Amino acid sequence: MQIEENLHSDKKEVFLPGDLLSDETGFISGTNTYEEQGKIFSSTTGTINQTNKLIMIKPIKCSYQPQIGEIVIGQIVQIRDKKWIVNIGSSSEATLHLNSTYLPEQRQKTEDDEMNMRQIFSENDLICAEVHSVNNDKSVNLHTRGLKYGKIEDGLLIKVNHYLIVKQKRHFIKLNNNVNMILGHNGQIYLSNQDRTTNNQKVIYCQNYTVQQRIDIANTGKAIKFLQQNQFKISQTSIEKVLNYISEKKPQNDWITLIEQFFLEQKSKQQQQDQ
Amino acid sequence: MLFLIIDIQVYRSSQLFGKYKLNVIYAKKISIPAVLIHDQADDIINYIQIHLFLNYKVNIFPNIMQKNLIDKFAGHYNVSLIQDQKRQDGRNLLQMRNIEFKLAIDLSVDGSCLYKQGLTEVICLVQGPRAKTQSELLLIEYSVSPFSNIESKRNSKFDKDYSMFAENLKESFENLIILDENGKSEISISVCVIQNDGSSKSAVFNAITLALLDAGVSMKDFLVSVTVGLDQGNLIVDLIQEESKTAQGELTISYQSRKQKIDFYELKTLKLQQQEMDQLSKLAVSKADEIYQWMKEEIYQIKEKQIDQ
Repeated sequence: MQIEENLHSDKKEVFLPGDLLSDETGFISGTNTYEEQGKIFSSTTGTINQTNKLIMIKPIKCSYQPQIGEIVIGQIVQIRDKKWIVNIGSSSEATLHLNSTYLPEQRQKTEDDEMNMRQIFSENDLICAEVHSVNNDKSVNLHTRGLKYGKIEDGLLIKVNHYLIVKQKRHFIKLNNNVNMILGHNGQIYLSNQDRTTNNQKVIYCQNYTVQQRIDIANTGKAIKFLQQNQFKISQTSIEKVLNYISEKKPQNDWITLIEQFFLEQKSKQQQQDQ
Repeated sequence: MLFLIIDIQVYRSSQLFGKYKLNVIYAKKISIPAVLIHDQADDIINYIQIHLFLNYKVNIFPNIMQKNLIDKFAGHYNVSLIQDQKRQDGRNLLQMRNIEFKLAIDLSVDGSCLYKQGLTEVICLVQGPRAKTQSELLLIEYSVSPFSNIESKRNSKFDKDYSMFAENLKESFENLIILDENGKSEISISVCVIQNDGSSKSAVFNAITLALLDAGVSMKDFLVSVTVGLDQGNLIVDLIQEESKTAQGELTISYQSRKQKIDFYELKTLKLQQQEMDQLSKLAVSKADEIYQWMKEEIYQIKEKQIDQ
């Protein structure tokens, strides 16, 4: 059968919308497929994935689909009763309920809190949150329990393609040059000098930036943008690789051309490996 | 370095002159011919002269032109170029223009495509399924830039041809795309004709399907479109603008390749027999199938590279 050949071969075949996956009875159509007159067809471009009788397509490129436990950065769009509507770039809206926010003192939320929701988060604020659950209609519930989540300010936000971000153990990262980074799964990266990983403090205060910190943040920001332009995967190691290369060669002079050299070297290495 | 300036009114197609690729050919009026700074400048000029003379009976350098030159360079051309049944730009009757497309030209949106078919150029941007901001599930914005035609003219919303086609586009893609059942996400498409050199409507259809494919939007089928026509008793494919002015009939279809079903059908004609109409639609379907097979192979190559990364 066509599918079995694909599963066992090393090179996976690509399917386009409208391509036939199976014409036998007894198969179930999974995600990114559709059924018509007993036959199953694919609906996006991607590679095939089969578990027992379930056929589905793993897409090569698609819009962001959140999963439970992922860390996202988003912007508050609207305030409704007892909840905020957040834009995280997914296919449907995300909600943050009042009960799933963090308070320094441990107590239940009262009506006063409901009246003063704007003091916690107001419109156009940037927040960092974790995906709590995904509903059947693909809408998402977020939560910000814990000190590392919550409102973020005084920093640099960079938007990249979400499929470039590598899933890692930690997404609150301290880089070699003492820049704190939040690597959102939805393709938004936030750089600042606030350390969110320690457990000792109770409230995160904004500290004043020194000149060196500003330079470091700007440099890492540019390195990420270059990674995005050349469509390389973004992770802690890949960013540090670029920054190390610059600091080894010339710390001060014209480092944009240096980065371009770095990518040329990387590409030539890849080509050599392919050959 | 090679500089070539030829003052002509209409640029038609890019042709190969020996090993040099130039954007010249076909002109009605030529005033100042050429300025060349190159070692082999004489060679190139000769190529151009002879090509123009043989195909269009245009003589650009009457003083320099020599008869023995024609014999010298005649071997460089295909013999088929010098036949009677040739169209204005040197194509065969059933030959398409060169098609090129480039996916993911703009990284800030979810999907994008630049589609070129000869000199017709269309750009399309897609913002993939995202949280809903308006009442409609699918938004299509169709526009024709005012500098795209030879006569610059602004398209008004009251233009019937323009507004009807925008509605048709929406209708056919609403059936094609698998929209969100819960009605909580929307897809917005904006498409623009940058240069119009005939059969721009079929280029618009193809550009939108390719951009949707790049964005990863789920679709039921693969839509391809083609324009055919009838000119002086001959069936022709992929009309340029001058041909569409003189043609007796012009037919644009969009074709669902899996279901083998015609989706959009537009016929512009004054007088046409039923036999000819049947021939036209048969030709269009067979050409659309050809384009689909070609596009499929191109996309497989592009996507297989992405998997390896």
